[in-house]
Amino acid sequence: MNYRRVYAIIRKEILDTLRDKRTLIMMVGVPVVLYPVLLVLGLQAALLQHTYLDERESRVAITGRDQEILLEWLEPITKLTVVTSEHPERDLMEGRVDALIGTQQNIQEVLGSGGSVVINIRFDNTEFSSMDAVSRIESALQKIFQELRLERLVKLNIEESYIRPLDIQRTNVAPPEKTTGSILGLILPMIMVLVIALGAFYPAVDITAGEKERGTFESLLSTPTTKLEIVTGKFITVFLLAVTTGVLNLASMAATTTYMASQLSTVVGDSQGFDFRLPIEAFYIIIIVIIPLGLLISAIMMSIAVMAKSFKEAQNYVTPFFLIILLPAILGGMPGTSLTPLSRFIPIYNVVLLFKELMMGKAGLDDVGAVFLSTMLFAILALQIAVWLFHREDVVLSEERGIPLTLNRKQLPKRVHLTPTMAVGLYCVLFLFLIYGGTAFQEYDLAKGILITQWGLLAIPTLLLVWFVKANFRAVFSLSMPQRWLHWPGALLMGLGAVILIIQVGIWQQQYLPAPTELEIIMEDLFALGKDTSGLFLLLLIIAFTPAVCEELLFRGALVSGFRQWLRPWGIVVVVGLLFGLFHISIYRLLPTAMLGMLLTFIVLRGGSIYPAMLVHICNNSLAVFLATERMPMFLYQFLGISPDMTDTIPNLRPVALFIAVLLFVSGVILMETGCRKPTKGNPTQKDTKSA
Amino acid sequence: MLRTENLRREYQIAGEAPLVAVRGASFSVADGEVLGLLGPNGAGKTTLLRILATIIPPTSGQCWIGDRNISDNPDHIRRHIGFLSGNTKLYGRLTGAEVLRYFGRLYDMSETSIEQRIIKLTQLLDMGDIIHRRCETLSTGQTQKVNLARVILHDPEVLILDEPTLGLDIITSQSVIEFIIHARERGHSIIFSTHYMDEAERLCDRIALIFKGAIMAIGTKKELFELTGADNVQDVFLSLVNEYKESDA
Repeated sequence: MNYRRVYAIIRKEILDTLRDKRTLIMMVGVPVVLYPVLLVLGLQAALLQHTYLDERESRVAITGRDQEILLEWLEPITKLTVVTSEHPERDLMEGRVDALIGTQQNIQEVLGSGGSVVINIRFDNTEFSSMDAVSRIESALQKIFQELRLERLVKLNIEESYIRPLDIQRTNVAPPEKTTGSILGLILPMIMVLVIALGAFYPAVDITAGEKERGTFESLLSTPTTKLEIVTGKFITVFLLAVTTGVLNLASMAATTTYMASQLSTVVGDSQGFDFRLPIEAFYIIIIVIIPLGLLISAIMMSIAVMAKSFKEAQNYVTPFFLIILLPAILGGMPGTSLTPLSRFIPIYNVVLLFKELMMGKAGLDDVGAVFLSTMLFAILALQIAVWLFHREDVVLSEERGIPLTLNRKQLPKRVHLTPTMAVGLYCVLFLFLIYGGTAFQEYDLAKGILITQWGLLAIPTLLLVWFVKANFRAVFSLSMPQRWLHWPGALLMGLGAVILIIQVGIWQQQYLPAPTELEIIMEDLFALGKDTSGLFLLLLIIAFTPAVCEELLFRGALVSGFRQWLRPWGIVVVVGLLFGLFHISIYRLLPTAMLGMLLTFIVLRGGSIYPAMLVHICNNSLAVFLATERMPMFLYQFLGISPDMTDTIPNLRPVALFIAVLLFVSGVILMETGCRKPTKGNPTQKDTKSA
Repeated sequence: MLRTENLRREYQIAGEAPLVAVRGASFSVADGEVLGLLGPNGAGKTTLLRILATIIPPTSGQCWIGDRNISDNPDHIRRHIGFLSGNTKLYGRLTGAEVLRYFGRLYDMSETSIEQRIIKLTQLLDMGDIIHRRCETLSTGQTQKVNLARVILHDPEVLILDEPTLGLDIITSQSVIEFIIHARERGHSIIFSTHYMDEAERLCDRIALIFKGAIMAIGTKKELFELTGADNVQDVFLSLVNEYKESDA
């Protein structure tokens, strides 16, 4: 890498960006002008209102009996005037009186007989002035109440402590900085994520998609600068501007809140146990976390923006990312969340947690290191993607043709495979079908719901899409027999081995991320069907056969077909596997299902046929049915080292079972590979095109 | 000196047969020679020039600049190439001088030589004070002048100009043409594309006629006239296109 060139790019990009009004407004205008103005104006308005209410006399009318006594009680209260009213209820409703006080009892008589006088206060809780009047009345009456109680106790010769057997005293031991820390830990990280994203937004969009739109990219590409140098230079620029915006924003907020705090304390006095001002350590902490956060957000935003052809298009792509990163920021701020070995590695969420724990003085150096490291890893990954995208000429030179926006089937050309856009679009639409339609059907009736979801919401739309875009069914769904008959036993052996290994993965996961028991209870009702033989067949049809056909058509058919042009085979295996895992909409099932998805994708790509994958899918799901209905042969339970009744915590599988599983898997792979042609990336050959 | 051998470039289109943008281009451009690439829109001119400028790689075939193969180290080879396309813009918020300094640094030039070159090119291209104005305030012709300065800033061996006169008025076109003539005198190898027949006829030492990605003929004006029996480049082109279509059918 030539650092002089990288430096030249950074220098130019910063100069260019700083001369852009949009960036300047975001970077400097918002923090330096808008916040203080808004906050100070808001504060002034609040103070004005507060002073007005505080100084205002409350007007109270007395109703009912013994008005003189009530008047006597109310008279010592400052800022309260007792007024007379002809129509007290109406005056209260119309705001001429702030509150009404009265009793229907003879006060002296009731008090004399040792009874309790019922005093009614009527008010309007939508009016601040009315609420103020009530609290003034109540605090005055509280004093009278205590005097009267003491009088009675003296008469009976009883100590006051006698009627207060428990004297509860609460003391908050949290030092003010901890209270501040926990409250700031809730708000500040979210604000930080937001301001950094805001700071990265315009530069990221402008120096990638903006440069493409302005037609200067080609000149840049014709210089000796490498793609890596271009990405590095641009990335460092986005990062620096994002962090600068973040720091400017935070500094402005800190200054404004300090000012607000001083203003507030002169009016309302110091609030106990909470210090509005940012503790000085907070600044060090902010610097520590702002760097990984800036790196990650800048890298991701750039990778997204470079895919767009114009500034406007890039804005549309990047905006959803804004909302997505806010979610982990909000979750991390919630009370009860803390850094764990797992959460240290969840991007953004981990930075927010680290911030919170540093503010409360709980996090150590190892936490800082782990969060820093994992965030850096994600940032590097995002940058790698950016570099990869910069290497793609269809991305950089904007020559991608996109999908023809026509709904007239006649105008569509015949094609062999789906395009990546079609595959992604299909997945997203079916995901929505599943969430909104599938869940509702399954809640109504689980068994019928699964059938409707699988056939009606997955299989049929997939087939319809392939028909509509005139793709080749045989090619898209890999509807040919495997290249070699050895692929059948190979796939089966791999499947068997993998299923056992996946069970073990599930057991490990259960130890770290125990699934809620509600999940099992829902499924239990369904599995109860399997008690008799005909029920068992029905269950196998619903849980084993149906998904094996429908899900395979979607995932190993349409999605694999769509990604063929985009990704190398291993990339398809990973992406389709992950998408398959995500489709099961459960964090507890993500890992095992994604692994199964990857395996099935591998089988299809290796053998060029969907049928072995369907078979393995059927076997896997049937095994789940047999396990759940406790119908597995006893020796298999013994072999695996688990008991049929799996209500308790399941122990790890027997080592020998795991060993045999690995053996099965490896021999399956060998059989699959034997005599296997090198898998083609799937760029359709001339022959394919003709057959289409 | 630029030489190509059987350059071919295909584009993969989702679910369709690959589109061949350049099919087997072989030619050479000597030092101090101007080769005109003449062809209608979509003939493959831009793709071919982008391959020569190492912006995109060829699907197959070879290309040398001097004795260096461009596929061996494209990043390094670009030092010897100046590339300009008709729709190339400048960084609007930078001044012409700032743009030139930026590119000078990207071409690994020293600060002193960058400044010297800027002074020299300002005189050569008669840029005057426009070099110190922000590019967004420049007219199309002024922008193209700064662009030409950028192309020749690092004194490359080969100039690759993709429709450099596209959308320019007569006066600015003329200054571009003068620039090319000047560069030829200085010994640069120049390949430039255009779809203006008269421009090609006036300026080029040799002309390559390109249609549907294939170079149909290449030679001096005289050679092309002899080949087809026509007496102007436009007729040469049309007769070759007809011939090509017949043989394709």
